[in-house]
Amino acid sequence: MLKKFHVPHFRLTRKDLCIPYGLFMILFVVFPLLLIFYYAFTSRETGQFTFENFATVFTQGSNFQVIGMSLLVGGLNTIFCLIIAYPLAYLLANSKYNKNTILVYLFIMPMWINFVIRTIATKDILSWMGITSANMPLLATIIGMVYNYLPFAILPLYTTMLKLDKSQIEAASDLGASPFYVFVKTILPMSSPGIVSAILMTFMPTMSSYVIADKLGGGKTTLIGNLIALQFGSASNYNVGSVLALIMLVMIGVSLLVTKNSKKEEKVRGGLW
Amino acid sequence: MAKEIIENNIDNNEYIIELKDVSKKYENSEDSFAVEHFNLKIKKGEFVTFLGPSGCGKTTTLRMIAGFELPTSGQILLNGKDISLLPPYKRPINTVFQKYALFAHLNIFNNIAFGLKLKKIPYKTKNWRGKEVVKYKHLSKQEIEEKVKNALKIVDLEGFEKRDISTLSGGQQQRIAIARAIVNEPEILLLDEPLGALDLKMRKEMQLELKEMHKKLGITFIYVTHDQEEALTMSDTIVVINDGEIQQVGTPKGIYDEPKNAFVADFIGESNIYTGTMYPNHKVRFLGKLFSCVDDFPANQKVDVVVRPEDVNILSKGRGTVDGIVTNKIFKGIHYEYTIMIGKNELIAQSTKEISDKKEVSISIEPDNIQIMAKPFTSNFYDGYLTSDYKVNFAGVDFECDILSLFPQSHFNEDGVLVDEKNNPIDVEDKEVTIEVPFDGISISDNPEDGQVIGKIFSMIYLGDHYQVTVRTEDEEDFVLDTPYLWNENDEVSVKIEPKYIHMKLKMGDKKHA
Repeated sequence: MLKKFHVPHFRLTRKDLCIPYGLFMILFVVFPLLLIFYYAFTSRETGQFTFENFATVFTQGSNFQVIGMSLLVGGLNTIFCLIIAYPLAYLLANSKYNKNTILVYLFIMPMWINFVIRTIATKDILSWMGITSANMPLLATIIGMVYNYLPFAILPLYTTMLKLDKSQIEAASDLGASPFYVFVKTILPMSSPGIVSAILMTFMPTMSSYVIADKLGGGKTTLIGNLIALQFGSASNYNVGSVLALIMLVMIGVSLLVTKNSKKEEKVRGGLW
Repeated sequence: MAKEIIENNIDNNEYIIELKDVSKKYENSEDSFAVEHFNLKIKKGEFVTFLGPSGCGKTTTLRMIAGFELPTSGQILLNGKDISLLPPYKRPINTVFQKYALFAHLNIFNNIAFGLKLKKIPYKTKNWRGKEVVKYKHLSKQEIEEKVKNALKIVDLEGFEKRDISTLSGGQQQRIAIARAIVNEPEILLLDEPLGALDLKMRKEMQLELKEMHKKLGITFIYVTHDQEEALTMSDTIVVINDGEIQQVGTPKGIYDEPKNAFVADFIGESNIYTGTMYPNHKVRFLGKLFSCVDDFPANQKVDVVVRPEDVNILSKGRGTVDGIVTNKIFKGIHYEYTIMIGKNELIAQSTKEISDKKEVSISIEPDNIQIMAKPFTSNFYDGYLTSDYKVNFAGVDFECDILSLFPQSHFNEDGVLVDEKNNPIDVEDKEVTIEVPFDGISISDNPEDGQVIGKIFSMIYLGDHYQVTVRTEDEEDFVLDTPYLWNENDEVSVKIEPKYIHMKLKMGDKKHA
């Protein structure tokens, strides 16, 4: 007979494994969010509950200009990134043109270099070409944005293009679709998860980035990110800054909702979710 | 013979598609052709099956007909017109893909209507000057709906229009793929192993349904499969392909009963294949005995002999042509399958009679059940077996050989034992092999000590710059070789074969154990 040992009943369950992540979420996501809410709805002087900060933000016309500029730069950046990245990703994913993945790495490589150095270098190159923050601040900012966020558009597109079902493309061609229709009817719908991911990966960070606009726009293209940096930095007005942060949160939230809804219709899985 | 003459008399117009000397080499492959010198004519309304092992070029051929691959050389004619370079969307040919390739983002109606919506129908109309001109129009919505409904009816999935692809089972998706292709009323329907992903029962059902559909629609079907049973069940014509080349074209029965070469015999159904030697008066020698046969080949020619397991008559000992012993017995439902050892050769036989294991029996074969095929004649072929000291025995003698070439990644360990890559010893004893020795790998000498086996010069043919000599041993095995010297008939010579010229291949039955 085997002697039965009494083993203390302890098993590491999946629930236990969640604890560190839960703590992380509380510390770095929930708590800062609550903090932003707290600052946004309290007065700077008295610390009392107030809508005063919202009034400050929404009564200043320049703030609307900044939000408009953010949407414009974000939108333009997303469009240019897509225009450049889509055909590029298609070629990179085609083994006929890209025998190994080295080319992909070459396009992703800029991400390995420090963001600030990259931006300053872009500035020098642009001014050497005659595009400076003084004469063309918006153009300089957008060029810098596209350069910086292109890899983020290429990667999700590239991964969905790799998964493109070639037989569906052939089937479309077999059923009488000319190359143009093959693209519209099969390649485009099949790659839509990648397009959605690419949009999110470029549009969202553009809204909040401030280094590029700061260095390349020379303070002339002010994005919402710059404004937030100003409030939390030299103006040290955490309350108004928090309101701006909330506005940005809502804008990104809306952009997420829009893309998510469009995804549901497609019924294709892949991309970011 | 008779069949070829009939075929030649048919008017060329009856052929819907014709492959003329088509070859295909893929860019990245060094020098091997995927398809080589393909010549094939397919009649309108035929059910043609391309049959062959995977990688034989059957799918490549199909893809060239569909237009996904362009032939490296040669022509593909559709109704007499060259379509070799036409893109797929301009060909009146539709394909049912191996993995269905349904559009995941479209529902069933839109999947089937895909081709219809793109179709443009020519119609004649009068322009403002009253002149007749041809214009093109799309199909109307009602027409499309009507056609889709019809197609769904044909594949037995009525009312499925609104359903999503992902809600369908494999078999249903297959039917949708077929509906999507036939709804366009193509002149040729290509089917690329369409039943490969279905389970056995479903596959059998679909085979019959496809055949039924073929009858009803009257479209030419070109079907690709590696399943010989499927090919035999469904086709009017089977094209057996191996190594990018057509091995045989014929009706299922024709191919089964009269295989042209050893590959076809082996691939279509089970068969026993031996190397034999022709004798005068319709006699062939294999399994160490003379058998009567109906085929006429020149005496002394080396041939492949094919015997179907069901054509072997098992008799009690001493009553047949050659005696053997039953070594294995498998119950197969309607019949038993026996393995009978005849000397060192295995023979697979089927019988409904039950015979006990290890029983000594005798076998006979009706002359018209012995299929004889000429061997390409530049080498000597022998049946042999491996010995425990890593030699190969054929023609009654043990020869030194390069045994490593038979077992990939094998080597000898320090004890001199043959082992595989995991150092497990390989048991080679009595493994059956076919041996090929090229003519120029054999030399003869009048010093009996020089060679491994003694024989007599049996025949000598002068071939311009050299003699082709046949040496026959006492066991009646022949060695054919080329020599520049003149010998005398009936001279006793010793035959020497360098190990590097002995090319061996494990026999099919033994591959499982290797």
